[in-house]
Parts: sequence; C-alpha cells; structure tokens
Amino acid sequence: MNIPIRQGLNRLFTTAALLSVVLIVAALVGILLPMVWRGGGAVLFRGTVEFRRMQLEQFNRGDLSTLRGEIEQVTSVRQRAWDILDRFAAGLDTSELATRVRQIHRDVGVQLSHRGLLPDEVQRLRALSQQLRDELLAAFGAADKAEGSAHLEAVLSHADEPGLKDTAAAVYFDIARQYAHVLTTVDLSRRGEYAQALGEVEAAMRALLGPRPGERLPAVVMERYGATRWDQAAQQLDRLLWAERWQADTAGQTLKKVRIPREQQFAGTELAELFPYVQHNVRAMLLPRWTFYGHYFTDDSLSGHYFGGVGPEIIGTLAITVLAIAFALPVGVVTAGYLVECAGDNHATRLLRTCINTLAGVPSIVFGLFGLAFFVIYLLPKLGLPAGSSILAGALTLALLVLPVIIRASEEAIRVVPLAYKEAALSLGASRFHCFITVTLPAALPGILTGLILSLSRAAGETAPILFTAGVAMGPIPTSLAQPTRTLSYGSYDMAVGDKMASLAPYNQFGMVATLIAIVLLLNAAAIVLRGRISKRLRGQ
Amino acid sequence: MLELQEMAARAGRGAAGGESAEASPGAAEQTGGEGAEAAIIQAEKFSLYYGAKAGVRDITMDVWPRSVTAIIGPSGCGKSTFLRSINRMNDLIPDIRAEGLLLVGGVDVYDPRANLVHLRQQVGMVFQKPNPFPKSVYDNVAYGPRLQGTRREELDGWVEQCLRAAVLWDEVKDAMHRNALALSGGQQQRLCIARALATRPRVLLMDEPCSALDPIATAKIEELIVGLKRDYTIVIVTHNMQQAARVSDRTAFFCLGELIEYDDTKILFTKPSRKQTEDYVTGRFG
Repeated sequence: MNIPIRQGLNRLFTTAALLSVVLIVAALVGILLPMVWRGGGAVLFRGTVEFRRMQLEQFNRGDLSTLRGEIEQVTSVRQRAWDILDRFAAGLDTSELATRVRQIHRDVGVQLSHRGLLPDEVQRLRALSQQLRDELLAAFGAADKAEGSAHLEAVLSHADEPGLKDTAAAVYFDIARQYAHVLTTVDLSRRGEYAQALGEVEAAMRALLGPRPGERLPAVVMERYGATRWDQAAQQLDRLLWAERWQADTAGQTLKKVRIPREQQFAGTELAELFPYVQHNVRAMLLPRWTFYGHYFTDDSLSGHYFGGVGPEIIGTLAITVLAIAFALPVGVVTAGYLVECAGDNHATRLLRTCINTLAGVPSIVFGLFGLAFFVIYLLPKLGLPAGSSILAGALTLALLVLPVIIRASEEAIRVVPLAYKEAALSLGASRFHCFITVTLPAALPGILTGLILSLSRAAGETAPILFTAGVAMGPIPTSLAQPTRTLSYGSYDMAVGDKMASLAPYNQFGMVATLIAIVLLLNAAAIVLRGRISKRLRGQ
Repeated sequence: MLELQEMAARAGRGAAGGESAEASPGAAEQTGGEGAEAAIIQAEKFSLYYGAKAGVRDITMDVWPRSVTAIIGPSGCGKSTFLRSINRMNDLIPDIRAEGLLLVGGVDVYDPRANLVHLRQQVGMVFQKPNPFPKSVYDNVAYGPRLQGTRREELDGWVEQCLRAAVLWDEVKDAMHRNALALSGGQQQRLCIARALATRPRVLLMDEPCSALDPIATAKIEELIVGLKRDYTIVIVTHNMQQAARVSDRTAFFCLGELIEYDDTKILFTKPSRKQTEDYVTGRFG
C-alpha cells in the first residue's frame, strides 16, 4: 500500500471515529435532554395559589397569613364567576325553585295562623297563597315561554295584596320576577341541552378553581384543589372555553368532532358573560408564581402521583440498589479471587466460567421470575419471613443480576496486578491469603470499582427483576426489609401503563424518570471520582 | 515444624557479648569468622527442574555467615534460579521439581514440613526491578513487622532503624506517608532493602539489585551492601563482574546451569582455576 492511500485511510478512520463520537453524544443528548428538561418541569414550574394551598394543607408547608391574604384576593375575583354560574343554574333548576315555593307556602300558613286574624281572612289568604304557589309551579313546568309568562303575570298581579305583606309570600314575587327574567334570556326548548353543557362547565370550573368556598370537602384529595400549575390551568381553561361536539359532516355519513366556543354555545344567555370574564381574570384567580418545588424529592405522593413528590420512590430505589450491591460485591470479589488465585485449569473451572458468562446474558425478566419462584415463594417463607414481595427478595434477585459483571471486572482487575507486588509480599513472609487481602485487592481496586459502577446503574434502573419480587405501585414507606417498596423504575412503568394518571400529570411521570436518570448519573459520577482518586494514589501521585 | 529460630538459639548459646538481638537490625547471634561456624546456606547436589528442563544442576556450595557472596555468569545460566530456590520463590512457577539438598540454617527448605512463612522472614529478597508496594513509605517498611505481629508502639522506632540501615532515613523522614512510588528508582530500591531488613532476616538475597539504576544510585547501594555485611549474610547475583569484584568476599561462577567455580573473589578474578572461568572473567564470552 503506498503512502497516499495509507494516509487517506488514516483520515477516513479518524473521520469515522469522530463521527461515531458525535453520533453517540447526539443520541445521548437527544434521549436524555428532553426527559431531563421535561422532568425539570416537575420541580421548576409556575405554581398557582391552589398549589400553595395544597402544600399548606397536605404537607404543612408555607406561610398561613400570606396564603390567607392570597385566598381572600382570589376569592373576591372568583366569586363573580361563581355567582353567574349559580344564577344561571338556579334559573335552569326549577326543581329547587319548586321546593322553595312549597316551603314558602307552608311558612305562610304558619305565619298567618299567628297573626290573630279572623278565620275567614286566614282562609282566604291561605287559598291565595296556594293559588300563587300553583301558578308558580305551573310556570316552572311550562314548556313554552308564553305560557310561563302568563302564569307569572297571574302571580305578579297579586303583588300588592296587603294581607300577604310581611309574610314569606313576598318571596313568591321575587321568584316570579327572577324567573320572568330567566324566561326572557333562556331558550326553554334548549333547556335539556343547556343542562348537560352546564354540567360540563361546572366540572371545568371546578377543575380550574377548585371547589367553591363553603362547599363540602370532596373525599378524593385530587378534587379538593383546582389547577395547581399554570400549564395545567391553561389546559383546564381550554376545557372551559371550548366544547367538543360530534357533528355529522356535510355528507351526513361520518361523525366528526368539532370544537365550538362555549360563548357561542350559551349565546344570548346569562352564562355567556362567564367565559370572557374567566378568560380575562384567570391570572387574578390563580396568582401564578414561579415555584421551585425542591421538596419534590422528599415528599410522598398523593392521589397516585397527582400531587406531591417521589420521596418514597427514591428511598426504595436507593435501598434496593445498595442492598443488592452489598450482597453482590463481596461474593463477586471473592469468586474472582478464587478464579485467579486458586482455580486450576481443569474442567470444573471451565464449567464455572461458562456458567458465569451465561448468567450475564440471561434476560432480566427471567431473573424476575426466578426471584419470584425461589426467593419470594420458597426461600424467604422458609426462613420465617412473611410471604409476598419484599425488599430482601428484590435485592437478592438484583444481586444475581449484577454478579457476573462484578466477577468479570474484578477478575480482570486482579489478574493485571503486577506480579512484582505479589513476589514482594510473598518474599516478606506473607501467606498467599494475606498477600491477596493486603496487596492484591487494594491494587485491583480501580478495576473492581469499574465493575461496581456498571452494576450500580443496572441495579438502580432494572424494572423486570423487581416487578414480581419487591415492587409495588402504591403503599407506605417500608419499615423493614420484609416489606415491598415503591421504586422509581417500577413507578415509571406503572404510570406508563396505568389508566390515566400519565395524561393527567405528565410532569410527574417525566419527573420520576428524570429523577431516576439523575440518581444513576450521580452514583456513577461519585464512583468514577472515587476510582480516579484511588488510581492516582496507586500510581504514586 | 523445624524452625530456623531453634538453630539460631543453639548457635547463640556460644555467642560472645551481650548484644541483644532486638537492639539492632543485626539478627545473627553468631560470632564472626567464616571458618569458626557452620555455613548458613548449604547446597549439596541441588538441582531444580522446570518440567523436563534443568534450571540448575548438581550445585554444591556453602555460604558462610556475615559475608557477601556474588554469583556471576552469562545470561540463562541459572543464577537467578538458584537464588530464588533459596527462599522458595520459585514455587510461583508451576511445574517445578527440586532434587538434592538445600539447607538454610541447617533446615532443608524443600522439606514438605518446612514453614515457608518463617523461611521467607529469615531469608529476605531484593528484586531486580524495585517493587515497593503502592502504599506509603511507612507502610512499605512496616509490612513485614506487621505480619510478624510487632506492636504498634515499637513499629515507629523499628521502621526508622531499618530506613537508617538502608541509608534512606534522611531522604524520607519528612515524607514517611507519601506514596512510595513517588520516590526515585534508587530510593525505591533502598526502600525495598529497608523493607527486606524489617523482617529481621539473617540472609539477604539480592537479584541484580542495581541493574535498573543509574551509576550514582548503584554506588550508594554497593556502599550499603558493604556496610550491611557486618550483620547480614548477603548473596548477590550480578551481571556486572566489576561490581562482584568490588563488593563480594567470595564469588561463584555459574554457566549453563552448573556451578563452574566457587572461590575467594580475589582468587577467582586473578587466578581462576578453570579455563571457562578465565574466559568469562576476561571477557572472551558472555
């Protein structure tokens, strides 16, 4: 091969190498960066007053007096919206009005009997009250605006009846006037449609602003607060302002989903002013502020990860990882030591090596099933522990998973310790075991730490082995090793396949994944720094 | 178990003077003069085989206490093999077989009952390439004594004594806890000598200790060897005939696995009795 060709090949290889490095870095950045970026949204976001309220009530965090001030501030703005809604709802909800009207009649009867009037007069007024009541009920039941108005006219014609002054009957006339107003604005034929849409509007308002002040507290924590994040609020606002309807397209065959602005849907009614009002004042209703939710990493989660943080998951992941390494590292190093120092080159040793290499290639789900069958079902109950998933079973399974990696790396590291060190130690009168412990192992430490780094990442991130042996999606923070635990990996899996939490709280899902990535990176970095220090010391710097 | 200590005690009963064995790095209780006492190393038709090949064959020689014996010869003649047989470092090589007798302090070292650990503490070794442990200077020297169970209070003093005996104390006394690999080549080799002295050996084996060092370091170590002769028995393998002539009392000439001649250094270099020796010493081959 002549020189120019060889130089050309050199340049080609260099370019190819550079390209690969660029591709790897791009892939890493392309995969990790979006996750970490969106996961960051779980910790740094614009939180609303609902968020601060939730933090105070559920986690006891925050300043009560400032929060009270904020709540007062937003309530005054929100109240108008609620009033509009209530009025419209009351207008539509004639059953409530009917109940009220009946009650009024009863109250009037009682009041009249205590007036000290002549029995004839009492009789007449009672009959009048009944008539008014019936007219009103008829008006409520009227399908036609004209009919309803006629009944209301009949009621209002008696508005100046002196006998009924200072009685509950005065309310009859208020109701009549109110309902008359409703009749002018509401298209009665569309009352059914309005009722359904009103339900949606109420739900959207509640999702946006939380339950009304004074309303009974919902049992589910998720429903006790409105939108806690500004991005969430934007979503809920959209739900409020736009309705989705199925509409037949022009051909009349297939149905299409179209979006109609609710303002248009409720055009002409009292409710129509709610929407622009809310749209303009949503910032004042929620008071969004940039929030750094650092306690995300220590808080427990509420309502299945809708609120709160990933504290228990982090604890679970760290517990399982550390325990798995604690099992695997000694066993692995000792095995590697045996293979290098004591094992001869015979069939037994070769078989052992084949087994170790095979173990390295077994799929992790198989480890999970083995762990379930052996540790959870057979071994741990035999040792007296309660049956079922436990951290111990998960850690043992993970230890088996990472054992081959540790053995391989340790074996390599022990093998390359210079013979000179061993000779020196032996010539000073050390036994082979003493030499191994005091000279060989410390010199092999950087290589062993490499194995440790590789296995730390695997153990922290593997989901399949702990799926059946230690992982649960929800549950208390474990107090003993015999209990199952939540972990970041299992939690990510669970959120992804669960029913709807991932779409309701996507930031939490990303947050969990990003936390897992961050933990693995941190563990790796720490181990790499440690390895670097030890390497330097071994080289004499 | 046959202990070398026993032999030392027996010989020590005839010792003159009240110098206690602990007070100085000199471990031998025997009194001076080569002919006055038994040889400390005795080889009788000793052979070592690597598989079928012979490393050394039918070596018969005696080494007397408190002397420096040099072993010279061309490459591959079995010098290092013989040296490493004395403290059984050859055991690290698989498939070796020893025949004949090799006594150290009256004990056959290839006896299956021999206490290897004890043997290696009595017979120290310094290797060709300095090989301090990747630990601190202090920990290097203290490695042997710690193995022997020396108490912590005595360790500091003993380490200092060994470093002084190796003429290294002044250079490292302020850096005792620095990594030994930071020292220069000559300093590392002296550290290895100090480390070997720390186990209170009676014999010091040196396998070409200066071949990896510069002339100044070499000179320092040769000086050191001559000084150590007062208390130790030293066997040094060397490629450098002039070095053998400078430091040793007796010299053995090996060639192709056999001991050709073994005599006083002056005689071997000026009036060798074998022609092979003369050819080698005058540089006609090797």
